[in-house]
Amino acid sequence: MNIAAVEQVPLVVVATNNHYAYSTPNDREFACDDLVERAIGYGFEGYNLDGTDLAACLDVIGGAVKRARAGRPPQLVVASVLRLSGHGEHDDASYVSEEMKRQAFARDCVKVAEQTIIESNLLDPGHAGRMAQRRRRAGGRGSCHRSKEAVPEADKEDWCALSTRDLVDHVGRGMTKHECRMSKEIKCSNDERCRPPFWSFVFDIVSSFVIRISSLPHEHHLSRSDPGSAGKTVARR
Amino acid sequence: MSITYLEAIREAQAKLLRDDDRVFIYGQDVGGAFGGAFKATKGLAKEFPERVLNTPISEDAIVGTAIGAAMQGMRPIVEMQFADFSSIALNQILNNAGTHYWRTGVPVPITVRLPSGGTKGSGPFHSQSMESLYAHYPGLIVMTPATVEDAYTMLIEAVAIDDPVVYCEHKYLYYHLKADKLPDKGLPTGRARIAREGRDLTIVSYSAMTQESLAAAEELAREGLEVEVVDLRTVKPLDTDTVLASVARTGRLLCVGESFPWGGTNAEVIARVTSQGFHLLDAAPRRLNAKDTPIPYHPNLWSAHRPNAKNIVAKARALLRE
Repeated sequence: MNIAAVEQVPLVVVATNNHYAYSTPNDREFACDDLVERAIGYGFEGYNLDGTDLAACLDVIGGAVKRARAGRPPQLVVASVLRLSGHGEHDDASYVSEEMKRQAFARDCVKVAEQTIIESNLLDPGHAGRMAQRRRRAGGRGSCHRSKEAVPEADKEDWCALSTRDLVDHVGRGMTKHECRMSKEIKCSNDERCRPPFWSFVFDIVSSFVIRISSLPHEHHLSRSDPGSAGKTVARR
Repeated sequence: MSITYLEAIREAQAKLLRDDDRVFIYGQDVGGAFGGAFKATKGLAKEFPERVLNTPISEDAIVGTAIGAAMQGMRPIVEMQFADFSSIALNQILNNAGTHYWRTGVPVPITVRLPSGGTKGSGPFHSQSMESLYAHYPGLIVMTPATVEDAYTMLIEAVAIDDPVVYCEHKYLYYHLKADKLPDKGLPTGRARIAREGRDLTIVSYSAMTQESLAAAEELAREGLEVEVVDLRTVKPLDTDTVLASVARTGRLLCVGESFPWGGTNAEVIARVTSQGFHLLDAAPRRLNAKDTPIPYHPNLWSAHRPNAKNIVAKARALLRE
């Protein structure tokens, strides 16, 4: 909000104040009486309203949009509502007090809006019913569509978090054992001094034997043997 | 002509602003006549007053705004005043920029410049190296230029890349490192550089530690020991092939980094070399990092806290004796 005000962005922030952050009530989230008080501090213009009141929403939010477009500072609208379900499917919202549920903003805003529209003679009840039916069908189609989508298959997924494919880091990639050997030999063949002497292969065999013995779990004392000394024989010096 | 590491960064930004209207610089104190805490944007606001913009002191908001601009087709360069403070923007960098392409198929071409690493007397909050932290997370490219030439070409490349780039520029190199001229082209992004050839020991390093490692190699050369220094250039992607090829030639590996010792780039390099090139090693690989404490203020303590040419030499000698 601060940067939006500093940059004078044509912005309307509608804060739906549903009075809870998961189960924590507002009095443990902020200490000012009304969230809209924050607007002044940020250099916003602030308004609050009952978020279940359709006419008020049209009026206040519509006005805020007009003001933002006209070059006024960013606008904050705090719309009071109550979350009418739990935070998720698993949550019965039993922590919401009965007193809270009796507040005006605790109404179901969709039902209130429908009622307002009918009472204002903007729509007859029959039409409103058909609209609600269509809405339910559309919702159903949406979930059908989703359930028909193929489930993702892990082995067909490209597992790529970058759009620049050639810059992807390959943790498991790198030279194969063979490529490494080749690289070692190429360098060595160019440099007489760094070619390992023929007897180093004998030491290689001895050292690998020592390492194998030392890795036997019940022969701990053997792990004290010094594979490093055998390794030294293949050092390029 | 002589140009410093810092001037190379400024020149790269000037070129980017001139060549591409989508580029803008966004950060604390970068605009106006001030030109940034380290003067990396000095004079740029005069030439591009609309595109070199001061921001409020809120790293999270700065990066969030840059992400929005990038999604709308811009190429923002965010300057953090110090790498240390980028921790305040972790949510935007890691959770938003880093995941955006994966979640939506829309890449976020932001470049976040982090003035990184220690200088004398800077203390615990103005000295840290954050590259390993950013490299740990998916969706980001992490650059750590060690030369004036790379500082220039890699920043230009960072802005051209369609994905988020964390560009770690080292404050100690700002004035200490000089070059005769700037190149037109550098190595491809993601390719490590052999900064010095040798056949006895491979030192893998990046950023300021490449310079310390080169100084150490010079010292060891006087004793007849030939150290190969690999400059990673980008820690992510990590050029494992170049590292393995070097270890194949030398049989010994020392990793040097300025960041804290637990985990990180050194540990990653060693993990890759031991898992993919165990048979190439003649001795156990070693690493040298800063100490596992906050970074001290006092110059005496600071220079003992980070790896330097002297303790790199000591570590290398010990490894060569094994």
